[in-house]
Amino acid sequence: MRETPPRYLDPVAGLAAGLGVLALLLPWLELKSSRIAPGEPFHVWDWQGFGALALLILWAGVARAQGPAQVGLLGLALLAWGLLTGQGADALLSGQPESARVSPAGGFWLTLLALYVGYFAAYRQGGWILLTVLLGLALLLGLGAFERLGPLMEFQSWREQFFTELWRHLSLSGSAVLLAVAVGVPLGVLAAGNPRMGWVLGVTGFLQTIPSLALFGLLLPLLAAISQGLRLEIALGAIVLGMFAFRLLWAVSGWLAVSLALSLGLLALAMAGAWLNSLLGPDPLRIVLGAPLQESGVRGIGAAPAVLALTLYALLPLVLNTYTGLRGVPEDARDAGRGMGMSPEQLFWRVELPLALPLILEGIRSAASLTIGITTVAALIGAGGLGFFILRGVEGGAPDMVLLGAVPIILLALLVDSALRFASMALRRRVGI
Amino acid sequence: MIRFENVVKRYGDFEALKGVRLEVAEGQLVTLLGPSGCGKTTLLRTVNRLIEPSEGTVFIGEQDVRQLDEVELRRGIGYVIQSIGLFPHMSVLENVMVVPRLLGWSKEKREARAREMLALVGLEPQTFAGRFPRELSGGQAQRVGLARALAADPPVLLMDEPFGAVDPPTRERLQDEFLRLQSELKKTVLFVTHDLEEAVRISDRICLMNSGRVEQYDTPEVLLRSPKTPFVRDFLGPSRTLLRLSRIPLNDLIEPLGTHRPAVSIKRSATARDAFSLLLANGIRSLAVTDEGGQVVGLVRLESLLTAASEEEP
Amino acid sequence: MKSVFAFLIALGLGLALAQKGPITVGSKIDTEGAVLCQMVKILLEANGFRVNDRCSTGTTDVVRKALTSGEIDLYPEYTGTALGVFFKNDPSAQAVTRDAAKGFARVKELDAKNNIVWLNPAPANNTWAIAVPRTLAQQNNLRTMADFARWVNGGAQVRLAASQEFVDRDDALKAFERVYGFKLKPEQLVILPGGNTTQTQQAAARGTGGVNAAMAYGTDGGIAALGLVALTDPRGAVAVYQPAITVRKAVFDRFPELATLINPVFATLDEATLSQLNAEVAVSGKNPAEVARAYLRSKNFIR
Repeated sequence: MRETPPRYLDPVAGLAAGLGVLALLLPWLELKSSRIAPGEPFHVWDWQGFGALALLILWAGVARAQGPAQVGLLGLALLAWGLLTGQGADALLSGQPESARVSPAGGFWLTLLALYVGYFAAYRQGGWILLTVLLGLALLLGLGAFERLGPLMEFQSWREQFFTELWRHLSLSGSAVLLAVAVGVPLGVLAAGNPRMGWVLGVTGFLQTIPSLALFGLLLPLLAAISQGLRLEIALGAIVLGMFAFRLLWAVSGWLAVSLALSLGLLALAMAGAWLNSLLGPDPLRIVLGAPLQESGVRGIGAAPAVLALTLYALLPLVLNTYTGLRGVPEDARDAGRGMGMSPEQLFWRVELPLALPLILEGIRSAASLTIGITTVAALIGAGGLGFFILRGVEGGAPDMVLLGAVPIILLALLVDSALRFASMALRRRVGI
Repeated sequence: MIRFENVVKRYGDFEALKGVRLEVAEGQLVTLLGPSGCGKTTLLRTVNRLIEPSEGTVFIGEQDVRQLDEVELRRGIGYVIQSIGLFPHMSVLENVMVVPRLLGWSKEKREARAREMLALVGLEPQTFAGRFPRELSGGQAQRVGLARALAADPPVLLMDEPFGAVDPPTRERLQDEFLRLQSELKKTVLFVTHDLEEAVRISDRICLMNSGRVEQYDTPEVLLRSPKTPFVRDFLGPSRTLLRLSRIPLNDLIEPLGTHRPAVSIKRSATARDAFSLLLANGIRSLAVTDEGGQVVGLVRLESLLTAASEEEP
Repeated sequence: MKSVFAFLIALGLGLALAQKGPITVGSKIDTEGAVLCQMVKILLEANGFRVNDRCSTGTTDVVRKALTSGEIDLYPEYTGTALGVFFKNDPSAQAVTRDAAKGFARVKELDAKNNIVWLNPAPANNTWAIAVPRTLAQQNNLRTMADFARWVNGGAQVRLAASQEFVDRDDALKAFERVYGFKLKPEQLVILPGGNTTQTQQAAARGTGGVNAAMAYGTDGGIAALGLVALTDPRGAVAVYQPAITVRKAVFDRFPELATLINPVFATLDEATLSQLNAEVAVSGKNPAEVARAYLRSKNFIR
């Protein structure tokens, strides 16, 4: 009796299909009389019974298919998801007053999740399948499939400000990460080289535990007081003098020296953060000599406290990863390097740093995606960013506006994370770890 | 070439080196031998100032090593360690080029020299130049380490158990090749090992150390024949005579064939120890000696071996 | 090249100097604040001022602090808020919270000591109110707070969603209860943190957790859109909250024309108008700047 080959069912693809089918049973879209009104749920079959059936068949196919066929079916499911949504939005909105809105509901989101899981299963085909995803999404956007969904209607109203806040969000996060690298990596190098500097790790770790809102709240009155009273030249002068004074004080009292360094360091960071953000972002850079700091853009609210707090949060992954990366340099490589006649600087730049670099890059990745998320809170203190839409949306009871803020933030974080992950892997392979 | 004058090294109360006096002549391969903790590695590292003596002086040529800038000093000394310490992020070629680069050689000169060194240690440059350390076997990595140490043509080589991390057959091969290299290059080599056989095999002179002191400093033959202290005798163990025999080539003991041709034969390139081993195994008193071609050229008798093995002064 | 640069810089500087200001405008994060802020900004820009837009600056404390510390130059504040929060320890202030004219005069007088100038308030009274679903109002004949009191005392199943502040303050719910003679028991209250009237109204509209009455403000844009109706307060039980522009004295002294420009505009903003404008933003989702601009045009304040 001839044996039939076993039926093939990839459990992950099966999960995706299961989720996809379940999603069809949930309401797909919500129709509201206005952006703040409660919504009435609708299922896919309410406007396109055929569509529901088609998706059902596609999911069954995804579960059973293999190889390029599976990828093809997933692509079709992606297109179906978008086109059905667009069709539904049009259908539901016809004959409704202008203020009416259609929002995505459970079925829409669950299908997105199912697609994600499905592509995860298919990923072993190779990275090229991501191209198909991008193509599919581009096609859907080009056809205007999501155009009449609530969040995108909000986008139409707030278009200009959306891009400004997006830019602000990027400049706030970017400034913070850049400053965190500039401060954190040297701190990590210090900590790795000198066992007595281990407390650096402890302090940056402690900073992480402070709730973000609390940290912002603490910094606001502090910076407000300083920026109103202190003149720009005095601030700059104090920082420069402080650098010299540090050396002298270190011999006298470690604690005094460190306190001085910390307070002046925070001031310097606040100033650097505000100015870097102005350089990178849409808000103009103003340097006014002879006037209090706040004339030069360093205020108690806005970019200065925001970037300062964000930088402090981003410090830990950078300091820790730099430290671990340097510690992880093989001891025999160090010994051989020294023994061969490398000076300490040459050893650091030619051996230790290149070997620690992949881990440092991981730290940057970690810090970047973390920071993009926390930057959301910056809007609360008048620094702008995509959090503005989340706040207005919550305050105004408009979930569509919340999505307008939240979805780009998520996408940004994912994008940055993936890009840096890719770079880090490539570097690891090159360095041989 | 290398001279240690009363070198003492203290770590707190512990004395790792207790007044070492030693002289290594130019072009010689001297092994620092001894049990773990005897101070051999410590002594080695005082030469390139990775360790600074608490008392005493180390000379290279007539120069007190402390007079030189330590970084420059090290660039003029080849340094090979057991774990090799190749830089994982550099290719084999780049690894070998490290010291020449530190010395400021031009790119062409560096590359040419690096390839030359790879060939010298038996690694085909075409194949190996672009490889990375993680792609190498233990033996290959060790060769690269050696090539790297020789790249700047330093007069002095410091080697700390360089062949310890590979399997015995590879180790023997590396030792043989190194000996061949040394006969060509005639470097002054200070070699650290705890392996008596290795020391006996390759050294011109052996410095046997114990607890920071030099117990005996002689050629292998003298050391094996006339251990000076109970420690040395213990360290060498009862099989030292056999070891000594391994240094005696069979050629010295061949006698012309008599009437009787022994049943078992041995090649003339073998050592006295090999002959003795064969005699024991077969329970006989003489062996026929053949050349490479298999032609019998003489015989060797147990009596000759016994005479050679004798510890009496000739 | 250098001369072109120099010319451009000079031109830019010249243009900058030709304009008045800059004046930094701010507001609270809510819809009405955004609309009023944009209205002032567009009005000033149309009259030759350079304006820094810091609308939706933050919460009440943040904005007020920004004004007093000079981070912003003006923002819209409510007479009732100033009297009830900034001057809450001043009995002369507390005495006049329910009188529009006296209240405004008092707050103008008191804040002058803080070097803050109050421009004329809009007639709209954005004060506390209670809103109920339209169907409920029709069923039970509810039009005024007196009707509400009657309905509650008659043993109605009422659940009111409100903020902590509304429940605690002497001149909010307690004032209604005092003047109209009813008392809500704790189980008849649902306290939502933060005091956001959109949330309370959404709860009443959806009937979440049995809520069928919501705290509201007089000019909320969403009331009608959510199918609710606000009950009137004919006896004037609660404090008056009229919006007015508060300016730093230093800025006002430099530009006294701020009053002549802004006062006429604010005079046109009654409750119906302001609710309508708020609704366009909160309900129809339009951009506050566009709504403000369209309004100013329609009233010929700008071209």
